[in-house]
Amino acid sequence: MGAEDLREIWGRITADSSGQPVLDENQIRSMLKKRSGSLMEKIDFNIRVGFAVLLGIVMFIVVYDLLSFTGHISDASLQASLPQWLLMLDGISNFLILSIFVTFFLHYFRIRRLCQDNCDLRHALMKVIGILTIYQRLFVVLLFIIMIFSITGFAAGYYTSILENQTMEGFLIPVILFGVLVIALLTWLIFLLLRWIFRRVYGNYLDQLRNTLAELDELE
Amino acid sequence: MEKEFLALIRVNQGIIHKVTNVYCDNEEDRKDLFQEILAQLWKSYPGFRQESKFSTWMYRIALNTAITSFKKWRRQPVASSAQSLANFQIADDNSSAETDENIALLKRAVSRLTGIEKSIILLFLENKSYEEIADITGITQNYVRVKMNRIKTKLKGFMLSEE
Repeated sequence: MGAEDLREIWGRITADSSGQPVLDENQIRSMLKKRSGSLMEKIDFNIRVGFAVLLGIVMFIVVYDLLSFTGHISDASLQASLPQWLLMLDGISNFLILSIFVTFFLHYFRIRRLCQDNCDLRHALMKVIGILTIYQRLFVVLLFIIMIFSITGFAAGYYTSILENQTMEGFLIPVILFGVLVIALLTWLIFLLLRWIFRRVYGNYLDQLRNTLAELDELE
Repeated sequence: MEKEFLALIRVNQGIIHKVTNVYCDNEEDRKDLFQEILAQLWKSYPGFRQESKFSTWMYRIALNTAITSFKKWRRQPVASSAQSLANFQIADDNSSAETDENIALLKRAVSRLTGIEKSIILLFLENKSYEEIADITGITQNYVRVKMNRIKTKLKGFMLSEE
C-alpha cells in the first residue's frame, strides 16, 4: 500500500463525521471560560512561589549574619571570639547559597525562553522536561540551603555556648561532627522522601517525555 | 481579537478533533484534551504572526499539547492504544467492504504507533509537506523522510499482520 492509498483511505476517515459535535462560537467561548490552568501553569506558579521562598530564606540568612557580625542581635565580643575558620566557613556557605540561588534562577529563565508559545515539538518537550526537572531540583536546593544554614548555625551556636560556659572544651570537635552528621542524615532522609513523592507523581510522565524526546533525537 | 479567534476555531475545529481522536481512546479524555488544546491555542494566539498558515500553527499547538499532556500520560501510560481512533467514522456509507476493511486496518495500525509517529503520520496524511512537518516537529526534513519510510513500513507490517 503506497502513500497515496494511505491518504485516500485517511480522506475517508473524516473529523466531521467522527461523532464529535461541531461547536459554535458561543460553545467555544464558554469552554474557554470553564478551563482550569494546565499542569505546566500550576507547576510554573509553584516554582515562582518556591523562588520567592528561597529568596526570603537567602535574604534572612544574609541579614541575620550581618546583624550577628555587627553585634545587633548577639554579643559582639562573643562573635569576635569565634575562631577564624568558623567565620570563613560562614562566609563561604553564604556565598555558596547565594551562588546556587542565582545560578538556579538564571537556569529557570533560560529554560523558559527555550520555547515561547509557538515553538516546535522538540522545544516544547525540552521546556516541559526542563521545567519539571527544575521543580524537582527546587526542593533539593531548598534542602541543601537549609542544611548548610543549619550546620553553620549549629557550629557557631555550639562554639558560642562553649565560650560562655568554659566547659566541655575537649568535646568540641566530636560534638560538632556529631551534630553535622545528624543534620546531614535528617536532610538526606527528607530528600529521599521528597524524591519518592516526586517520582510517584511525575516519574512516569517525565520518563515518557524523555523517551519521546529521545525518539525525536535518534537520528539528529 | 477574541471574536476573530473564535471564528477561526469554529472553522478549523476539525483539526483539534483529529488530534484528540488520534491521541485519546475514550470520550472523557477526548473532551479534556480538546479543552486543553483550545486553552493553549487561546493563550498562544497573540503570538500567531501569520508567518505560517493558521492550520499549520494549529497543528503545532495541538500536537505539542497532546504529546506533553499530563492527563493523557496519567490515564494512558502505554504509548499506544488499540481503542484509539475507534471514534472515527467512515465518511461515505456506500463504501465497499474492502475499503471498509482497509479503513479499519489503518485505524488500528495508526493507533499502535508511538506519540511522535502518530503526529508525523497525521501530518503526512493531512497532506502537509515535509517542510511543514519538519517545522512543526522540530526535526530536519531528511529525518522526516527517514521517519516516514519507517512509519510506512511499520504500518504495512501492522496491517499485513492483521489481514
